[in-house]
Amino acid sequence: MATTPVTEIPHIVNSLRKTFESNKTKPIAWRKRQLQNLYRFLTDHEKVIGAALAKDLNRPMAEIANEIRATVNECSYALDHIDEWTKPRKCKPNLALMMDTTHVRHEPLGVVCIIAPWNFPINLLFVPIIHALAAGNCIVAKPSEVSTACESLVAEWVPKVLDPEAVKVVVGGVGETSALLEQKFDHVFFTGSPSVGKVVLQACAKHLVPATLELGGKSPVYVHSDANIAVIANRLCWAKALNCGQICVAPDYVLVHKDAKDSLIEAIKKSFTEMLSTDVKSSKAYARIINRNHTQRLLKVLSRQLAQAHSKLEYGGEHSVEDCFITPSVVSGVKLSDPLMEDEIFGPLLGIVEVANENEAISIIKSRPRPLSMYVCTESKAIANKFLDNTLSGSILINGFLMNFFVEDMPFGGVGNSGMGKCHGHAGFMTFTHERGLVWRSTGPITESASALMYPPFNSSPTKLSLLKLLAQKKPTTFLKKLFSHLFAQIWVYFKLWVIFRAGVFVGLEGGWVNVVGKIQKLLA
Amino acid sequence: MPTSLLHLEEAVTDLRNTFDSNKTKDVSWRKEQLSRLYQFLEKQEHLMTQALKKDLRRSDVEASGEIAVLFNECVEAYENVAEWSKSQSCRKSLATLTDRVETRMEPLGVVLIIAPWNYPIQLLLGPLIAAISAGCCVVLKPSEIAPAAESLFLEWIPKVFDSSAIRIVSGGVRETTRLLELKFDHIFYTGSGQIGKIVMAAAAKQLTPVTLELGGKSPVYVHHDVDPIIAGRRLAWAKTINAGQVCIAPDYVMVHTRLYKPMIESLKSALTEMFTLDPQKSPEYARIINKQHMQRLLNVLMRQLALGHCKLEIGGESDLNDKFIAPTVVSGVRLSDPFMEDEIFGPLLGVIEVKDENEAISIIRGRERPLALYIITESKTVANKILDNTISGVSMVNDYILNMIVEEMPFGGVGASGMGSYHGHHGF
Repeated sequence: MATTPVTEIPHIVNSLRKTFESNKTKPIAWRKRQLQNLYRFLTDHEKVIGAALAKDLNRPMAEIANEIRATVNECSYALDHIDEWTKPRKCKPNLALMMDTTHVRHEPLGVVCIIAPWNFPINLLFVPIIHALAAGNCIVAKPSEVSTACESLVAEWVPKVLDPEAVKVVVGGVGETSALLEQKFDHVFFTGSPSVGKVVLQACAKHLVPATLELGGKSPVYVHSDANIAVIANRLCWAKALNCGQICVAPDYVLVHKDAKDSLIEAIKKSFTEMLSTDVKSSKAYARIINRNHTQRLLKVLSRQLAQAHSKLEYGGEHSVEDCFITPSVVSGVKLSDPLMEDEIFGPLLGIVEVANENEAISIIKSRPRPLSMYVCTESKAIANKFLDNTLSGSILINGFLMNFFVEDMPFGGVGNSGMGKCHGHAGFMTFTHERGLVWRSTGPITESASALMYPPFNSSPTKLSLLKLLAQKKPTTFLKKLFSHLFAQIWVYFKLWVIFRAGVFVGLEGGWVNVVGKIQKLLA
Repeated sequence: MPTSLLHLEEAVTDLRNTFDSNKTKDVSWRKEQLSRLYQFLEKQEHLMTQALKKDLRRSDVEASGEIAVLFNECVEAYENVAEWSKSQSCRKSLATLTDRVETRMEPLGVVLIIAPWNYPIQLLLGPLIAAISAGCCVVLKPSEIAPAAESLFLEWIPKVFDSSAIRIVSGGVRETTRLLELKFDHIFYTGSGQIGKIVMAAAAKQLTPVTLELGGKSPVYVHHDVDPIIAGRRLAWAKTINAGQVCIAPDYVMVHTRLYKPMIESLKSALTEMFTLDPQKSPEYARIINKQHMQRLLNVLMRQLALGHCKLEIGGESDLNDKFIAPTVVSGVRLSDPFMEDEIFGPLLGVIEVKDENEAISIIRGRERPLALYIITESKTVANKILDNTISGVSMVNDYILNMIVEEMPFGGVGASGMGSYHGHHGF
């Protein structure tokens, strides 16, 4: 795949800026057309897209369909809501601005840069594109060079599907990405690892470019003694095997209550065997590692871990570097300083750490960077609430895994080391939008006499000050005031209903209609 | 007396322990802090007015304006914090039909608020109100350049608020640099773009999100269809608040050829009306913060007036010891002049003659995105043209600065004028 020449990158960004300044991307009709074209592409060309995904990630067809479907859903959600999202939002004026227009306009930021990773190369590129387009921006899209088939697909199809004057694709590696980050964008949307996230943010700081960073980290699982082990094991194994563990919110390691440890390990072994059969390699339901580099990285971690006498390989361990294949591998007896507890695994290795109880789990979680996701498996509300109230993560699921990703109106994003900013649904639209406040004041005599209260000199009119204070300052609402305004609102509703009812009675029952027409005729005569 | 570096580190550690104890998550704790702040504002307003008088020679009226805004923010937060902190239910799909699906509003943790010197009370306590309502622990760093306000806070913050969760530190560059090396969960900075870049770079090293309320040159465009008397008055008022030391002060004004002379005359008479021919004697006119900024402004003015093509219309008088510069209007300014370089942040107003709104638009677009944009016209078409072809943090038609009092309106910049926003729910 021919990379974009580094020297061309400033020209690409400049031409996008010209397009933005021509206001081409601002009309809602243009944005809808782009989204509709994208929608049609994702649905009509599902096979072509699926083939590229299969080539890069060697993923089962069902998982591929899920990635595309999730992208399509965000697209239709945006199309359904774009009119609502782009409408100016009225702001309640206060007494001083009673006669004026006060609202917030939703303005596109301008030219934005979207950098996507390789693990969900279609969803994690196109979903931010959907929101950036809905918000009216011009876009530089930078697909990952690691997922080469998808990279080619994007480079070939985006210029055909989306307006090439407004959306351009840059292809390349570290060199090209660095050159991109030297440009002054109005927003950078980066999905990837925390270490690269820091580099991106530091580049952004040079030009005061705001950034959304969807990063990762080690997402912990806690399994309590009262968890429904059979169900949890199924869900955990499904989540861990998905995309061969290469998900930003994959369950990274398990903290299991000592009383549930043995049954959990047995249940996990059973679940994996049921889902993938005893010959995992021939299972059509299991993806592969993205490339040999990552396969070797994972095998290194695994062998360093298994070299520790205190840990035990419970399941898995088979591998083939050539085929980028590692079975889901479960290691028990893991300690907090072990290799499996160092960096984000991002692969099918699952470490099991035994803990005395939920409090130990909470203190382990708190001592580590804030994760992107957290999974608490328990039937007890009290235990779940303990985690909710004493930890912080991008998202948290009780008794489930990964599902929050598919709820469109749930903002998705990390906190602390796992990221900043959010996407999906309205939150995604707002990421690429500037809320520009507008106050439109009249110059009429009423407004001007109010304004004149603020003009010096004040010494000549001491009443000015007290009048100003009266107009400007809020007093806390008392209970009576609240009661009154609540009652007033209710009474007003009933009053309106009564008027309608009475009018209806008058017209309908009291034969008032003929009278009304007669009266009008008399008036007009 | 600057806080020692050791104390800075201890403060952050203490606050983190407090946050871990979940004390600040309790909505009633947050309301208690807000109500204490309200009472402080009510009872000690005179102390704050005095401090502002000392630092900026601000008139009582302007000072109470700054505090009134705080009152309103405080009340707004107090009344709505319970509502704001409620979890929001999300739309369920077939897959999540039997589940509880909601977004929780969680405090970020320990945050740092760095305030500037021009509105030293509002721009410290305003973000504090937002942080408290969200349930965060806060390190406050007031500006050392406004020493009376800084002393006031150093004395009163520990008395008013729960010190286990809200701490104030003092110092200069050295202390602020050290603070930026410590780990916070959010940094809220109000000040110049230059320092904003330093703050963001430091925060980036630790993946700390930031809100930067910066500034820049906020332009005004006056179209030919307005009443110059009213336009002149409003502009004169807006330019002289706090002696022009406001982040959204009108920085320079582009006037349509047809209204150029009437506008200048109107400005002159409005300024004379408001401050008399001897503004130094007017009790309403504020002073420049310190001699350093005085020198800066006098330097710009001198360099500007050295150019033959511009004209000093009114003002120009100064008194270094009194930190006084008269409201000054210079006409005939060109785009490459000294007045058009950095943000003025003072009572100097450059007037540029333009052909029409299109020229104004291209001038605005040729520069960094401003924090505020002011459009003075009776024509909806002209106003909408400018609005649709530019972008700014906030914008106003026919008036200035009043967006700050609309609580539901987020206040924040875009591009070089900043990132993130606050006021009301947005602060939360």
